[in-house]
Order: sequence, then structure tokens, then C-alpha cells
Amino acid sequence: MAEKRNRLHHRRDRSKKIFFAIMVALPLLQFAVMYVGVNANSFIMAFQHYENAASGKGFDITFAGIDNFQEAWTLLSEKSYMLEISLTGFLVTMFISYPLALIFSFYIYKKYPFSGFFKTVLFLPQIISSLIFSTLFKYMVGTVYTELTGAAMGFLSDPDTTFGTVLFFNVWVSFGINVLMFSNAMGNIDESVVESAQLDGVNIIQEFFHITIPSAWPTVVSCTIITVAGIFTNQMYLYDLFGDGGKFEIASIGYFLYQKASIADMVKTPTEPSMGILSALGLIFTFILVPTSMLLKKLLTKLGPSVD
Amino acid sequence: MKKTNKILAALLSLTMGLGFVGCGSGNDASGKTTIKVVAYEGGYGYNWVKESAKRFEALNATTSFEKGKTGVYVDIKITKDTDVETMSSSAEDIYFTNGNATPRDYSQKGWLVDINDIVTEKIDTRDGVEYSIADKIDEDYRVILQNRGDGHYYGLPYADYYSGLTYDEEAFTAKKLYFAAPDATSKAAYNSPYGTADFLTAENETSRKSCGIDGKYGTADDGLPTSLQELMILCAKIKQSGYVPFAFPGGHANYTSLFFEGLWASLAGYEKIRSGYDFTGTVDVVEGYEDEPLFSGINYIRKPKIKTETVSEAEGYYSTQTVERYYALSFIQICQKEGWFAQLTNDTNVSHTATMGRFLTNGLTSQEKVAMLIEGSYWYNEASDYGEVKKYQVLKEKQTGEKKAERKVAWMPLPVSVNETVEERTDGGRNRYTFTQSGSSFAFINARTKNKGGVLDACKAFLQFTYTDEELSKRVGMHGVYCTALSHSVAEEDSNKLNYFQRSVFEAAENADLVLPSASNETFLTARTTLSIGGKRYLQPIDTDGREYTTIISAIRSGGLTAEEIMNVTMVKAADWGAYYQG
Repeated sequence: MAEKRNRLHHRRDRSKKIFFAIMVALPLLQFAVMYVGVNANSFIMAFQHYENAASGKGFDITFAGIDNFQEAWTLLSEKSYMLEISLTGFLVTMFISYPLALIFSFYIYKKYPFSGFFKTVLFLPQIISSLIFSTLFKYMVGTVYTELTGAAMGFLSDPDTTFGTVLFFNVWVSFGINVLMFSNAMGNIDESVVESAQLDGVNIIQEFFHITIPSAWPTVVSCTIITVAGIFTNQMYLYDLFGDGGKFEIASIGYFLYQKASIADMVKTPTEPSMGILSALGLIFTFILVPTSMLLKKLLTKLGPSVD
Repeated sequence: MKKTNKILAALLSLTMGLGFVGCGSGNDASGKTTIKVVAYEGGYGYNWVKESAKRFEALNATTSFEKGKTGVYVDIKITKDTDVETMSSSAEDIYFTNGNATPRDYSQKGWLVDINDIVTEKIDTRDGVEYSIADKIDEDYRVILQNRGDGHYYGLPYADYYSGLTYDEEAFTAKKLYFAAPDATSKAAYNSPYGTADFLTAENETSRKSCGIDGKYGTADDGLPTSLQELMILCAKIKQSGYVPFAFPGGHANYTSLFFEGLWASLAGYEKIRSGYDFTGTVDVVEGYEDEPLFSGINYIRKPKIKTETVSEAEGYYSTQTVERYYALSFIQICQKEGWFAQLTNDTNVSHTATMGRFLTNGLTSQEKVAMLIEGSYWYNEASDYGEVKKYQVLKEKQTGEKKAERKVAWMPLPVSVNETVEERTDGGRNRYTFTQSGSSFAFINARTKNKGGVLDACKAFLQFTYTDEELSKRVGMHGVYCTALSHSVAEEDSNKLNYFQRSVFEAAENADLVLPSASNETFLTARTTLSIGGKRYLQPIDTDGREYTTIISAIRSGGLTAEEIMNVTMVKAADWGAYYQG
């Protein structure tokens, strides 16, 4: 009897394992191909040089040494203004988007008047595609604005206001999700800590800086690390706003990389970098961002405010 | 609980089943060889594929391409994204694409089937002479359809267009915007800041329009500007008449390049544009600037110092420094500075079809009226597909009672000189225009089809069928768009289907020398998308701070760059030619 039960148990255990294997096989395969494979290929390509084979079919592939890295670095130096734009986007996120979101999250967390309504209103745009959102925005600052005011150009068309409008859109479109993240973090603050502080006579500003911010600090740190890691890949919604033929004069590095990668070929042309050069550029960014992100995380965790 | 599970399971099974039903053929493909075709959904038109497929299916109803199967079914996907880059993992067989990458490039990657047999086979007879598809292809163009190794054909030219201007003939007549012939009696002098010209006030026996660029009276270009100076005077008169001279879609600022390319080609002429592709002959290059203006009334465009240079493959950079390119750039700068671009060109929300609609409905709405539209020569077909022509007809009928009105807009050959008016030719002949092909696209078969046995034969047969004279003619009749790299006749029944605008394009093209972006030298072929006059080299200027602009107009508007600056940063200097030269 015990042996039969054992066998049954064993069979069930095996079935569970098979079920588990089937369930994880596809995601694992996808991870292996789409992440490991793609990144490994990108790493290899960064050291390869492609030339059209004289036979007319295929390529002659040779070891490129650090040539692609040198060309990638030259490309980056030539596009230093794009780096400035990416960094401006980063600074705006850090010093305008996040502080604004923190203050508003605090308002919602404290359940001040209409906080529930604001929470819903702010979250709603997050379930709408950013492309739809950007289309609406474009009409508001373009056609609607010019029709209402009789202005010659909309904010996105006027060269003096284009970049400012893009930055505003970035702040606006990410505001809701930031508020949601921070208000959720604040929602986990122990009520007894707040009550105790209030008994000690802290006012609302002191509560914000000495209890709320330190309690939500791990979320702030995570958001900061994600933002830093995305400096070179953030398109700043330029594709959504301007499409393929977008404005290169206000291109971020992320937008530039997307544009170039979408038209790049294995063989370099006089005006377009090859896949190998773009792969090398990606690796350069990795070399810069990995230690920066790790160091920043350490510093923010160590030097950041503590609820104690 | 068990009952709920059963219901859930039944529902899931039903959903799966419905999915499979969706996969099943809702067509008459059963028992037939199926070929999968992807065609680009764009302004060139795409319905011809469906019609052509029906004829091909009927023709091959009893043909067996695969064992056990009789007849063919052409499964067509019309799409904005033909997604050629995924071809090597796709199940699609034939592509009618939209894109600049050539069969020469794709065959290098091993993505295409060798179609040399069907391209070189004689399939048509004209006046007793047999023709193959290859015979119809422009000689200069063949090389980009062939593999660089075996020299076989791997693709065919599909669709393309001319770049330039369309003018509103109705507005030109109503507002008396045609230049008068020197001997015309009914004319009025118009003084503009850029000069004076006589415009025709009435057309009668003693008064006729000027002879136009072709130098012959009684042709479609009569009364149109022949020099940049005349075009400037015309623009001033257009503004005075309550119209704005030019429109391009604000959402597609890159369309200004269509004007730039057309103007450059027209000013330079066939030989000089070709010298930039073949690297032969002489060109006039800019070697500096005088301290005097190029045009009267314009003090911000300097006259260039010109030097004649001989172009060779080793010194091909001269062809990027030509004075005609400077003139074309200068004119774009003037248009911007003098306010000749419509308000809608500033609105990034305005699409190309909306711009076509605005142009077609000139005077029927309260919106600004546009005298000339910057577009490719295919645009009327696209305007019809997107309902803009219908909108015009509805508005016209409401306001005038005229049913199904045909809009009189026509293709405009562009000026050929800076300030010399073309005079009548005394030999009775016509000066030829120079047109340039833009937007080359191609048709080819996916290399993966080789693994499908008889399907490949069916694909080859269908592709060849669509390039017979009869089918090409039907394609033209249906969409009014001609593949410029192919020579073929158009049957009367098909040409009768063309509308007023499309006929104007064909009439102009008959008197034009066409520059196709192809050459047999490796330097040009390697950098074709950069060095052709619609190439990146000329359309994406970079300013001195390294800032890159996507279009000429954005460089002028956003960067405040001048024609001189754009010219300087987009020309290839002798020291940089090494990146291009393949000698």
C-alpha cells in the first residue's frame, strides 16, 4: 500500500516537474534567443568588419580589433549635442519630474481634497498608448493653438519652443506613473510612525522631509537608477512626436540610435554607420553606465535620508 | 466546480476552434498552388495587383505548377510595411516594395531568387520585334537589378515618380498668372521687387502665352516661368492675387526635397546630373562668392564665383559642388524668407493627403489658397485613394451644381536658368526638360520560395506576367503612374482612363530626358543612396556645430542656415572623397 502511495506520489512529482518544464521552456527559450543571443551577437559584431564578397553573395568578415570602437567614439564626439540633449532630459526628469511627482504623491497620500479623483485622472493616461497621447498633444499645441490664437506656428513647429515643448511633454506624460509609484511607496509607511511624529509636534513639511521622503527613498533610488541606466536609450518621445523623419536637431542619443539602427546595414556606407559600429557604441554605453549605476546606487543608499 | 471547469474548457476549445477557422482558407485556394504576394499600400497604387492576379489565375486555371494541384491562387497582402528586412524568415513569396535598397544589395545577402530566365525571355512583340523584360529596362538602370557577382537579374523596377511642382491651372487662368509672349497685345506689365514681366490679360488671336521652357508655342508649358527670376516674379504676383505660392505637408517637411531635386535637375540639365553619377564630363562648381546679389530684390543670396572642372571617378567630389545645386538651395531659402510657403507647412499635424485636399479645394473653403503643390508625380492617385478628389467633387457640386468635376491641375516643368528667359526656337523643335527619378522601388521573389518546389515556377510566371506590355499598360490606366525605368506603350483604352493631371504628367514626360539614379561604376553604386541627387548627402545637412538636420527646410527654419552654409557642409571636399572612391 505504502509502495503504491509512494509510486503515485512519485508520478505526481514527475508530472509536476514536466508541467513546470513545459511552462518555463518557452520563456527560457525566448530569453536565450532574444536576450542572451541578441546581446552575444551584438558583442561579437562589435569586433567584426563586413565587406561585400566579390562573388556577389554574402560577406567577407574579418576581425576588426578596436576599429568599430574608434569609429563609434568619433561618431559620439561628432554628436556631442545629442549627448547634451540626453543629459538635459535626464536632469529634467531628476529635478523637475520626480520632485513634482513626490509632492503630488504626498498630497494624494495625505488624502487631501479630491486626492482620489486626482489619482484616477493621473493614472488614466497611463493605460492609453503614448502614441495616442502624443497625437492628442500634437493637436493641442499645434492645430488647436494656432486656430485659437492665430499664431503662425505651433509650439512643436516653432524652433524657439520645440525643445521646451518636448521636455514639457516628457514631464507631463511620465507624471502619472511617477505619482503612482511614489504614492504606493508612501502608502506603505507605518501609520504609528507618523502618529508618533505628530504627537511630537512635527508640521506637514517636516513630516514630508523627515518621514515620507526617507520612507519612500528606496523607490526614489530605484527610479533614479532606472533613469540613469536609460540616459543613452531614452528617445524622449521624439519618435511619438515626430515619427521617422523626426527632428535630428533635437535628437537624444536614444532617438539617434534607434534611427540609425533601423537603417544600418552590415557594411558601412560613407554616411551611415554599420551594425558593428552601432554595436560598439552600445558596448561603450554599457561600459559607462554599469559602473555609474552601481556607484550611484551605493552612494544614494549610503548618503540618502534615513527615517531613523 | 466541476461544471464550471467543463464550461470553461468548452469555451476555451471553442475559442481555439474559432482561431483555426480563421486560419482556414476563406478563398478558392483549395487544390491550387498558392503564391503569397506583398504589395506596398502607397500613392503609386496597389489595386492593379489584385486585378492582375485575377487575370493570371484565369489564364492558369488548368495549369499545374505542383503535383496534384491545378490552377493558381494569388494570396495578396496590401500593407504600409512590406517589411523586406524580415524576408529571410518570412513565408511571403513575391514583394512589390517601397524602398531604396536595390536587388543588387539584397541579392548580396542571399535573400532573392535569380530571375534571370524570366527577365531575359522574349515575351512581347512590338512591330514584329520580340522583347524581353530586360529589353524594356533602361540601360543605365539594369546594373542595380543585377547581382554584382554573376550579373543575373534578381529584381525588377516597380514604381517611382518625378519630383517637382503641380500648378493650379484654374487659378492661373482666373488670376491671369501666365507670362505673355513678346508679341502679345493683351498684356500687362507687373512690377515686383525681383523684376518686371508681362502677364497675359486675355488669350486671343493676337495674344498668346510665352513659349515656355520647350521654346515652342502651342504646347502645355506655354506661359509658365522659364527662369528662377520669372518664378520669383510669378510668386510675387501669386501673393498679390490672394494665393500663397507653395505648399508641402507640414507633417512631412522632407517633401521640400522633391522641389529641390526637381529644381536642381532642371537647372543643371541631363548631362550635368549624369556626370555626377557616371563621373564623366565637366561641371560648373562654386569656388567662392561675389559681394553682389544673385537676384535683384534679394540681398541675402550672393552670386557664386564659378569654375569649370572635369569630373572623374577619382575626382567625383566636383559633382557635389555644382552651382546649380546652390541655385536650387538658394531658391528654397528665398521661398522661406519671402513667405512663399503656406501656413500649413508649419503645422506638423498636416498630412500629405490633407495638403493635397487643401490644394484641390482651393477657393471652395475658407482656408488659404495654394497656387502650387510640392509633390511627387503620383500624388493624384493617392488623393483619389484617400477620398480627397471625392471631397473636392462634393464641395464643387454643392457650390456650383457641377457633377463629378474634373480638377484642372497640371505638372509644371521647372525653370532652366537663373535669369535668362527661354525664347522661341527657330527650327520648330522643342527644348527637352530634365526630369529625375525619385523613390525607386523594386519587385522580387523571396529566396525561401526556392524550397517550395512548384510554387517558385508559379511565382516566376506571375511576376513575368505582370511585366508584359499589356499588364503594364493596364497598371498605368488604373493608377496613372508609370514606372519610369521601363519603356512600354500604353494602349488607347488605358490612356483614355487618365485624368487631366495624369495626362499632363505623361505629356511633359514625353518631352523629358530622365535621369535615373544608377551608374555602372562601383563608387556610385556603393553610395547610391547618398550620391544621387535625392540622396542623404544633399538632404541632411549638418551645421558647423555638428548639429544634424533631417531636411533642408528644417536646417533653414530651425538652424537658421543659409543656402551658402548648407552648400558648404553638404558638399564633399577633395580630402573626404576617399570615403566614397572605390577605384
